[in-house]
Amino acid sequence: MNKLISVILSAMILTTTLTACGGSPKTPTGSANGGEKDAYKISIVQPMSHTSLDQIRDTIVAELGNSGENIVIDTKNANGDSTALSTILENCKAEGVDLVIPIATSTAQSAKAVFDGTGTPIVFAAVSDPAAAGLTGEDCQNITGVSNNIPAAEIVKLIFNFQPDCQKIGFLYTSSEANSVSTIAAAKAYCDQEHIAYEEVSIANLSELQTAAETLISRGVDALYTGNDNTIASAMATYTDAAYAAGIPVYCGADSMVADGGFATIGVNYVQLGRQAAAMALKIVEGTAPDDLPYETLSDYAKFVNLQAAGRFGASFPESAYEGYDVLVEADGTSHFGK
Amino acid sequence: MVYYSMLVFALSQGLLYAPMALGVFITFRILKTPDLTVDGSFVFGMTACAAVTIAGHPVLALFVGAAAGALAGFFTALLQTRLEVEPILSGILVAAGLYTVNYTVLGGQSNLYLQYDTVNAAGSPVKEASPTVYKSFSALFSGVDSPFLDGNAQVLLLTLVIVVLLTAALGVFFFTRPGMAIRATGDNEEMVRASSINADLARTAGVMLANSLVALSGALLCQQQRYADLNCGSSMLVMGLASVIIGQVLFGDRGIVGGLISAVGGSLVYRVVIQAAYKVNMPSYTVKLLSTLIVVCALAVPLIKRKLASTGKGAAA
Repeated sequence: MNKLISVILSAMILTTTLTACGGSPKTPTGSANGGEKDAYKISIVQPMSHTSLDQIRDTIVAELGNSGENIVIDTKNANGDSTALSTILENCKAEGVDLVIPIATSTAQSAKAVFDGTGTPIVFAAVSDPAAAGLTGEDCQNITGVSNNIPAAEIVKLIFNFQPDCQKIGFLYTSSEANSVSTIAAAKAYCDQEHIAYEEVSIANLSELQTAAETLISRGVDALYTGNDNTIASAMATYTDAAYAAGIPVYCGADSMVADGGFATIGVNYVQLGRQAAAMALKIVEGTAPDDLPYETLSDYAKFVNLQAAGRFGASFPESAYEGYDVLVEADGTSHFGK
Repeated sequence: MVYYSMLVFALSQGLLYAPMALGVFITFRILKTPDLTVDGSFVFGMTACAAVTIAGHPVLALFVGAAAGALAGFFTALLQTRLEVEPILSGILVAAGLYTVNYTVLGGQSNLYLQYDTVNAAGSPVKEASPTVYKSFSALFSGVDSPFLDGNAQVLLLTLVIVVLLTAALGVFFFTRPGMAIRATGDNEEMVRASSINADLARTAGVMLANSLVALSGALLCQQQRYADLNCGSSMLVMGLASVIIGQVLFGDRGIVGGLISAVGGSLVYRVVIQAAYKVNMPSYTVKLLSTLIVVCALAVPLIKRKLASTGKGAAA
């Protein structure tokens, strides 16, 4: 019996210690930003770490920090544990956050459920289809944000800009990523409408990536396209090694994916997305009601090429094809990403 | 008050995941075979529940969710008993196959919000939130304005009722003839086969029951958070095992009913500790390691207790 009591006690001590160390370093964070009690508290919550999501977060943090407003920013990351999202958001609510910025679809949906009835404004970032995600209905007066949807026509235009005689496009995506799936679905619908041939392969996890890429290549595609897919973005080297060995260019949905080895993108400029989300948050800080701010789509798409990648699959595109594209990675490998 | 609402939230989450812990308890402790179907059947319960909820039947959706889990369990048991596939492999195979099933149930997408298309008073098409059991339950409290009875507390109350009824029903079931047959199969399958009990049938029933509980957990979570997502099943088994083991460490080995109650208790304690861990002002990526350490510590406690007991005896002698 003594042992049972000691176990319970040690568990309680563990919990109390954890909670206690949570309390103490918080106060300096608050007082560092001007020391006023009524600083506006903003929490940014992301589901996992990877280049694009981190870029959105960092841009929002920088933009809000430079705004001159008295804002305390708190960033949280669920590290891929979906059950942690609502736990993190509940902590934000308990700490009395004034505005929350959830990044990606399920984070925004969890935020809606957790902050239901509190009136706390929610500014989502990087949700492809806010209506389908349930973020635009009548119960969403406090919810607005920035969608990262890319028009399908733009994607196909990107491929035909470099390869006017492309016969067949290969689409590769992770089937569990809402954003990636909806981008590919729209692209396929556009291809059907325009009578462009395509092949598609979806993966459930990263271990299938190489096989999936090789399957598409074996089906004779002339170009590969992957949208803003968080999973594939984390393994661009595997993907591009397989494609470039076969001389097939890889087009993708994010500049970070081009920086990591993709050939060209018209896609979400995550810095631009972060800026728009931060601008919306600032309008709400200054007193605009979220209800008066309809959700936005990107006002500017990013067009980038990677010349080192072009060398790897032996590109021989005319100079004119590169007009309007920023060089993200030079032929010698010098990267301008994030500069 | 801040801590009150956080505690209520953590407990409500703990209760939502409690049926899953009960399911893991049945396979891990009663049938004594780890069942890895959990990661898939949790999401299956969630997606089946989402589809039926959107069709407008929130209560039926919970039963359909549980039935979906039972179906998943049936296939796992089929692999185990008829094809004599290793239990661990059967679970992995069924969970992997369920990915496609779940994807299809969600209509070829990875995320489904509980809403339906309708027309508003002005005649233009709008999306309306689908009714859920939690929404209907909250409506009962519309006149009550107490800070102690906020949305989280309402979720806690309803889930508590469900979990208490469930635990009681399971407690009774495991003393009926079929329940005893499942327990006997876990304890000594050879002996069961030698007697007149059909061990394969008992094992199948046990795995189906366990997975229907896991799926019910997914269904409840789906209605509470109002969306289904394919990624929600990741690391479910680890969470379930952690709950069962923490429960066992804290409340001891106390037979079948005690075991069921301590699995629920373990789920509550686990969510409270995780909530506290995220509350701590340290980088959130450290929580993963922390939660692993918690599980490892819980696993090590029985051994440490035994060692302490034996050295204690040695010193006394």
